[in-house]
Amino acid sequence: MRSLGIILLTLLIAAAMAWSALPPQHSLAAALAEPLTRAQQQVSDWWRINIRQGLTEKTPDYEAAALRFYDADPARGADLIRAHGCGACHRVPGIRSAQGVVGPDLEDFARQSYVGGVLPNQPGGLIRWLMNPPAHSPATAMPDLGLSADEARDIAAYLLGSEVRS
Amino acid sequence: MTDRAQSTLGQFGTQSALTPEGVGASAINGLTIGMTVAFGVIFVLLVLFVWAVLAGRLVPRHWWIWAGGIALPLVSIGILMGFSTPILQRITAEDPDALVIEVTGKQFWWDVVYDPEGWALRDANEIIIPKGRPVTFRLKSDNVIHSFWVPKLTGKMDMIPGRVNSLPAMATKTGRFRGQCAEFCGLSHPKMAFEVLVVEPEEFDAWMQRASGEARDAARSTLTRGRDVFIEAGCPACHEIRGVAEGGTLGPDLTRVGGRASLGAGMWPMNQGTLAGWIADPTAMKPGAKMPSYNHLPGPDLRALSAYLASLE
Repeated sequence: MRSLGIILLTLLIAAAMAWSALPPQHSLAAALAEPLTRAQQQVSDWWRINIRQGLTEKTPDYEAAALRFYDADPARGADLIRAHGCGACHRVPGIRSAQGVVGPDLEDFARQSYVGGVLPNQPGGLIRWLMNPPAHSPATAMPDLGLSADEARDIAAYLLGSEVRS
Repeated sequence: MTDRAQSTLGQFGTQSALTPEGVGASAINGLTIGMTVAFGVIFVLLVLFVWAVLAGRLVPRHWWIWAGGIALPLVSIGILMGFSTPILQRITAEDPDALVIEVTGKQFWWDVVYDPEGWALRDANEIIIPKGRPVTFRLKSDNVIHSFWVPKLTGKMDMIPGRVNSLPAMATKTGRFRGQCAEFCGLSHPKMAFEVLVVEPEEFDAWMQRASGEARDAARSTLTRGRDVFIEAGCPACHEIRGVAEGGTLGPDLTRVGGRASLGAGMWPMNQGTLAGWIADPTAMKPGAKMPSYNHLPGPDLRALSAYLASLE
């Protein structure tokens, strides 16, 4: 019985060593990450749709609906924010590397009245600003990043959704 | 060749010594696999032995100490030495005709000089080498100890102040290979990465020709303004742009800065926006960076300067 215990323990140690030697993308944790995230998402969706909404939302949320852009994808917007390195100048909620202090903090951006101090902060104004800031404010330090209309729309959806998200 | 979209800098998983693409790295990988197998066999035998003794199937003998404690280690270590010594010799053997690339570790970036005795082309944070030709990295430091490591290419070598270490390498496949400083060197040590671009030999020769020239001209009025800001703001005190302002060697050479995949030695995507953010506040993007903040530049000047730098490919 004792020798069995010792053998099991050594095998366990060997397995742990083998696991630590594997590249991260092939490890057990990586294999389990996706199904676990999906399951968690399903549970939280179920909770939100079947329980919480029934308890709290007596009337439709017109404010949130007004921020929904036709065909915009905030998740893609988040990827674009990372890919373009917006965090070089801005703090962006939900983007860990974005801790810039050169430009304004974009936390609770949806509550801000104006974009760049010149355009009203509505989806259309924000999209136009993102596509070419110097065209709207010639003295701005923010460069034209060459974003397409689709890219600007996805980023705007992410930024304006930040208040709704949290 | 220099397709920035293919950059591996953001993907740490690609930086694996288990998928070698260089002569040195594959020799080391073979040795690692061999030693791991040998370790596995000895480990299993040991477990069986202990189990047999604990279960009472074997009675311990005095001579086991001599056999298992002295003879077995001597023999197995002797065999491993027989493999590792020639491999070590092979990966450190320098080819006298190899292209010499001098890399100096800075806080927190890499100063690169191709062929320092002849061609002497200076660049930074991205090293382009030809496939199938021997190169020798000559590794230096003028501040603290850094370590030069491109896991897919070859072994790791320290950069020690006051010393010149040599690390020969030969790539067997074209592509982009991520490298990383592997010796703690200060605040932004984990943010000190770079890439080795391996290209076909003909492509390398063509690049040599092109890169030796002066920086790309400022073709539009914004870019001309950016070039003027570069000079007026005092950037040439530390940075060189060949053909525009030469002599600054404290900071990275900017002759082809816009052509590099990343800004800040592997930390940010290279574009006009990140360049502007960097100029206005480098330490927010890279703690401990030596460059001062140029946040006194008016907005349009900052835009012009960043547009100019991004245009230098």
